[in-house]
Amino acid sequence: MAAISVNGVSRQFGSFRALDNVSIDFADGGFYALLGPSGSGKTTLLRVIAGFDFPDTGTITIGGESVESIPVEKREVGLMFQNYALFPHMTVYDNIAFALTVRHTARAEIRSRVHEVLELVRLQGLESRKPAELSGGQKQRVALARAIVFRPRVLLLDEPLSALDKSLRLEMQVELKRIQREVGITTLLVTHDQEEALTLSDRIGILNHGVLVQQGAPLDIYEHPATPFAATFLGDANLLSAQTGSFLPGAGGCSVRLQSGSTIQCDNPDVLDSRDIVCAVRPEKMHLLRSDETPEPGMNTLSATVVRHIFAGSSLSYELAWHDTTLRVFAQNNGAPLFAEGSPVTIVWHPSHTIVMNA
Amino acid sequence: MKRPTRYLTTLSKVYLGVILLFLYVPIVVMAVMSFNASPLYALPLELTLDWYRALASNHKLIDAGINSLKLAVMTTVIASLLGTAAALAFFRYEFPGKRLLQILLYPPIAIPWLIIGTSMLIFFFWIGIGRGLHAMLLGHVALALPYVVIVVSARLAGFDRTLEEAARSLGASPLQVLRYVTLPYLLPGVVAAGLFAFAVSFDQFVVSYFLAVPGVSTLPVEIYTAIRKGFTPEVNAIATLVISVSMVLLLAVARLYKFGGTR
Ligand SMILES: Nc1ncnc2c1ncn2[C@@H]1O[C@H](COP(=O)(O)OP(=O)(O)O)[C@@H](O)[C@H]1O
Ligand SMILES: [Mg+2]
Repeated sequence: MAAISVNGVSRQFGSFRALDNVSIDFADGGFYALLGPSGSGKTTLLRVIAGFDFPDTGTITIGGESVESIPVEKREVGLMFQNYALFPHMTVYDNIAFALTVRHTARAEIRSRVHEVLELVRLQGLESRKPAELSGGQKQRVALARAIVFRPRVLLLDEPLSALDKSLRLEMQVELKRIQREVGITTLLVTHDQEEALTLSDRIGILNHGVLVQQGAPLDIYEHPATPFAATFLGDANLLSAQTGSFLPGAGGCSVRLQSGSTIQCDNPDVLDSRDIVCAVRPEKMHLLRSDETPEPGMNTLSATVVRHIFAGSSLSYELAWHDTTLRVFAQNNGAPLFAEGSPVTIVWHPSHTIVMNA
Repeated sequence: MKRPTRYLTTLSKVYLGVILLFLYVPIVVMAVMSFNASPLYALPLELTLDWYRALASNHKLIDAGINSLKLAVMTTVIASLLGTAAALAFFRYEFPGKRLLQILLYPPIAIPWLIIGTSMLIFFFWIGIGRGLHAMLLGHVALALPYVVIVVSARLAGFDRTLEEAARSLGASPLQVLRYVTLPYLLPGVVAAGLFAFAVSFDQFVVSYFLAVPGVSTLPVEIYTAIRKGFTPEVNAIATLVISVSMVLLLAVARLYKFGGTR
């Protein structure tokens, strides 16, 4: 087990920057998610760490040791591929034993280690099957067992669950988390699925266009996204653009004049550059009042019109027209009467739930 | 609706029958005649093993047969090794001139062997290689190589390169990756390519004819010479032997590696 440290890594393909000065640390034993849309450079970063590709600038250390001159086969990284990449001509047993076989481990030791991981991934009894005779979930488990049987220093997973259907994916997420806890291996999971990143990892790094936009604990990033991209990619957010130079820090908080003309309150943010400001509010932090009701004092309010509501059983989602933007508000289905389409409403939220970011 | 279909089916059956007739009847006739006492193909059939006995003492034919076998085996081994290595290089690496080299694989298959044989003879004389078994081996390997590269490349086209990456991440050295992952996948393709190489060499008449020195020739050349001198049913006998052996060999290989499918 070891920590990974990525320092100022850039990787360019022709004129295209796949990674742009990325620096991120993965502490020993942690479960990290690299989250980003397709083409944001996640796989490239993983391949650079594994040693299949090399950074143009910057360095990578694993366990404090620079890996620049260490070839893939000596890096001791466990890798799980999106398409599983099981060896089709070998049995489950031989697939899992592969890393030990090429290390000339004694046969008895191989047997006990393979059986140990088979038990860990709950695949006992399938040793003599060929990959073609396994279900998607079973292949997944074999791939995981094969990647950890040689006790690598780190485990790298490239969208390992994206080929599975939803229920199997949820089941494998739970399994993955359990196995990672039991083994205690530093794990780096690449995904474009925000839910997967939120449920599995201790920390998340968000990539966009090869740039590491933000990193932190899932809750921190969710509550305090640093950029509009982070706010909208991890969770839903209503973006409200502010007028240039309208950001006024004050004693108990600050105020922002929106482009629509309304002024809203927020907590003092740690934004240094106060010129170009975008505010965001999570849809579940807002609630609706009839336009003739009076909101509690000190709350932010916006007057809007209900466009439609989407009923999803336990919850409701409203689409509202506010000036020329559409805002979303989530509500619990707690028996309160629904707001009809076309009815005027007041959107209410607490100033501390206003996220202030640089555009 | 039924009538035209049945009509067509009958027609295609006849068509198939005619093809099989022209393909296999000569072979069957030859095999049968190798057991017939009359050298003039006279019927009724009079069973005899005389021609096989005569063959056993025909050292020219037997030596030629041994030469052919040696050449074919060596050609198979050399062409399979070189061709597989070339196919792997084409698959794995980008290098200047790669496209040109790939295109250059096809003309040798299309150029008539007569022309290749003539040019090889001239070239080999010019650079001092001359004629003989060694020259034939060079020629056969050169003829067989394109087939091997093309057949192995076709197999490689379906290869998932992440398998090699997975093997490396699991600690396999490049040689171990080749041995445990790439070659096992390639094997059916290499075996098929080897069969091609064997056939190209064992069947080879034109190029061998040009490159043979008097006294040291191959079976096809020797058979041709024998026929020109005056046909004897010993030729039927050896041809029957060759066909039987190659049929058995081919069926065995086909059974072992389901061609086209993965193992
Ligand atoms: N070997 C390569 N050559 C050229 N472009 C590449 C190569 N590898 C990746 N890219 C480009 O880099 C970008 C990032 O790719 P990737 O890291 O695979 O993204 P992600 O995994 O986040 O979807 C993509 O636009 C891709 O086309
Ligand atoms: Mg990717």
